Amino acid sequence: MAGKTEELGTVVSTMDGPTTTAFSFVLNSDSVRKGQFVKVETEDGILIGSVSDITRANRYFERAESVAEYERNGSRVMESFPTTDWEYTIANCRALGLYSHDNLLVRNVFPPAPGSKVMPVEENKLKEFLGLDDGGLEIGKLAAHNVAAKLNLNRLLQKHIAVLAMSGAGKSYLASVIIEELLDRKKESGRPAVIIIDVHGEYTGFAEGAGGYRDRTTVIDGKKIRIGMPAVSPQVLCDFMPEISGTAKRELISKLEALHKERREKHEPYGIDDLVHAIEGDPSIKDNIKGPLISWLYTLKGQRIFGKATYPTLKDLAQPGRLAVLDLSDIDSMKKKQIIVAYFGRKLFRARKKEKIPPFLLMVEESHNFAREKAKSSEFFAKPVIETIAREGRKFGASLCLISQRPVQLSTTALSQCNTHIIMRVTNPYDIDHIGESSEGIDKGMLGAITTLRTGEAMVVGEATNFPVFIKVRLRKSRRSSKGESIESIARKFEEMREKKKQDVEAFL
Amino acid sequence: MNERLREIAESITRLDDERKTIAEGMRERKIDILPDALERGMLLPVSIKPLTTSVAAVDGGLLAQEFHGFDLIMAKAVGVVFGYEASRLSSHKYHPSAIPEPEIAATYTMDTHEFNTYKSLFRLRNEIGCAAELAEKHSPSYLLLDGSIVPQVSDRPTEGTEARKLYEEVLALYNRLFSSCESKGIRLIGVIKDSRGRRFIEILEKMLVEGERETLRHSNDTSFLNYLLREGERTCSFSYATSAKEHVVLKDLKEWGPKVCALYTKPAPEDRPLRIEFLSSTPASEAASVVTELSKINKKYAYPAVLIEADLRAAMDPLELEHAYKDLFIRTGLRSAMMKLRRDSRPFR
Repeated sequence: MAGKTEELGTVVSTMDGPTTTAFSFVLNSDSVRKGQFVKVETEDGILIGSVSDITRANRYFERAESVAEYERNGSRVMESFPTTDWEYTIANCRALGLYSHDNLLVRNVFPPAPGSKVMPVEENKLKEFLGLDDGGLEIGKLAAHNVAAKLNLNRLLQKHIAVLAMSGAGKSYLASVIIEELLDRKKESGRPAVIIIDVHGEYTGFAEGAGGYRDRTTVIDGKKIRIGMPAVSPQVLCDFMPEISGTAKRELISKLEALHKERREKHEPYGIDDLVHAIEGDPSIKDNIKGPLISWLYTLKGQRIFGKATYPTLKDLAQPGRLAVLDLSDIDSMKKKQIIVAYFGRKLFRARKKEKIPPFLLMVEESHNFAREKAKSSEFFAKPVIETIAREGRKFGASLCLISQRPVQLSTTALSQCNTHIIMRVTNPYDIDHIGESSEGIDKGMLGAITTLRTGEAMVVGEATNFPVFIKVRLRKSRRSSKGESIESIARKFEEMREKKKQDVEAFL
Repeated sequence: MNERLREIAESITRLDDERKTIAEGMRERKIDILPDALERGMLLPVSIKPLTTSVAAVDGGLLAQEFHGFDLIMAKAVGVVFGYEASRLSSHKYHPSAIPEPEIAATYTMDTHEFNTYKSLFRLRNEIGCAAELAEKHSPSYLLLDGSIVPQVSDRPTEGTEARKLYEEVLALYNRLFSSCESKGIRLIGVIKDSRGRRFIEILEKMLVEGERETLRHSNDTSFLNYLLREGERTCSFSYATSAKEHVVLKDLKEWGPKVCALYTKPAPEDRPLRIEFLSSTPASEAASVVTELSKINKKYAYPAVLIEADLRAAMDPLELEHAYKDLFIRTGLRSAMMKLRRDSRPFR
């Protein structure tokens, strides 16, 4: 990495610059890397830029045909010519901003002079320039710098986050790092509650093993999740049965309200069976209404989600400095997952509005499956809830973190409200285009770089930093979930288990 | 035009085929003695062996443009010294530096013909001056020049002109270079990559019948020798001119004129022969051997690597002249003398 006083290069005049927005410099140090921040002294102050690309050139290797010919004859070009003397390296930089002589960060309005010396940016200046916060969430290190990427909690969470990457690029790992940072916060620093919709069981590791985050984590088994009927409003229930007719809806509301009133007076809980019985036993409901209504209620009952009491409670879900993992990995029904996310999302948001729970961060894995762009709200129950939190949550301390491998399928309403995008490797061209359109401050070069990011590398763009930055995500401290095992390990265990069974059967016989 | 092109193509093909036929016939005749040859044998094998020595090369670059009230010339020359260990590059250095500053000059009263001579001499003064300095400072075993080791006839200006003074300077530098090389035991070799000389053909003509002579009258040395020479062969060496005393340039070089020799060698199978020139103190076999060894690394482009490097270093970007002109413009302001010629400032191209 670049030393503090090392001169990195000299600004050169090219066909395209220097301009107010870009400049190039020829390197006299091999420590410059793509993504690195550099500074140049100009007439107006100190110009800060970031290296967008680096080009190496050598006249001896410009003509492939000639190189091939020399190499073919068995004498390598490098053995016959002083090729290294001809090599030069040019870094292309984006001019990001300028510290005026009054030390104010302003827009650059005059290009640096060719011949100006390019220097590394001091660590403290870089932190100030990027808006990093020593008390923020340390999610890794800035690429090409030995500087911790500490993101200000308020800037990161208040206007929501989107973590976008293809499968295997490290989304869940990064999300785990963010969770760790939130759980590690001290009481006096402010600790939001963290709730994660874990569709693959990747976060249950927080509750595994001794020490670590076990004491601050509650894992809620998706199969045990119940929505207490007394807590379900008629309208919410109707939302979960979008197919029913208006007349059936009226009958359902009427019956549910009556049942609710009756049981409340008796202080008795009730379930979906009680509602079905009530409807079945009401002769005033016409058969052509009753039949389909009962049928739909049985379908809903088949989801095994509605019970007499709600689990988990708000207390289970949202506690300061604690993590609640809604483990939906054993639930196959998409409809059931939708109902869970929609119900608990709405409940959390309402409770937060009434300040019954602490500020929270709701993280939604595979969020494109819950808030799909091209889907009717009637089919995706969670979509309106997620969009509502995205739109209004900022005012009430309800934050969202949408994690998705298919940004193009994610609700643009929700995505556009996520003012910080943390983008990891994406190769799907449609997704890349969508990211380019939805993430402000990303230029073509950066979009191109997204495809080349390695696992664990990310680009942070938006509210959390003053300028887009590339980071290398730090190592996680929490345990990986046992569900995140490698295929080799799972296959080995499978065969061991089968052999053991076989031995047991033989022993028994 | 189509018909004319067909005729030209036929003529080229016929001449080339005839050259090939004559060359094959001459190879079979195994001619041992040629008139004006400096050694026995028309064709000789080049003995090559790995080089562990130092080889220098000098090349120059030139930019020149005529303006309304003056003419601007820029030139630079670069010397390169390669150290070889078993024919592999082991070290390299430059003279005066890897990127020397160009020399710039202006002339005011020359006609176009004289200006062309002047700028060629300007380049030569830089190159030969650089070569002489390099020889004196670095004493390489071999010093290669890009091109001839003597000025061209076209470089010789008429008496009383401004260019003539420069010519005298250039001649003095040649004398200095020759003297330095001789006194230090440096083998001075000129490598001419695209020779249009006909001296060897003139020697051969005396051995041919009338029909063959007619064909060779339409050939230059390398277009014919490409068929006569095989890879790894050279011609016998021969004197630069029949009579140095009568040659317009050689006689200006005084005692050095008669010592200038030449030969052709074919280092690579798929490239044409190279003409090399040297002083008679250098054995022809040694001159051919070194150039062939240094040039055979590319079978399609036979040219010493050290001269390729010198050429790259000496190459000048036309923008350099443009920058110099703009600098002058800033200093002089807008005046008619600074105007570009009409042919250089056409409104639509």
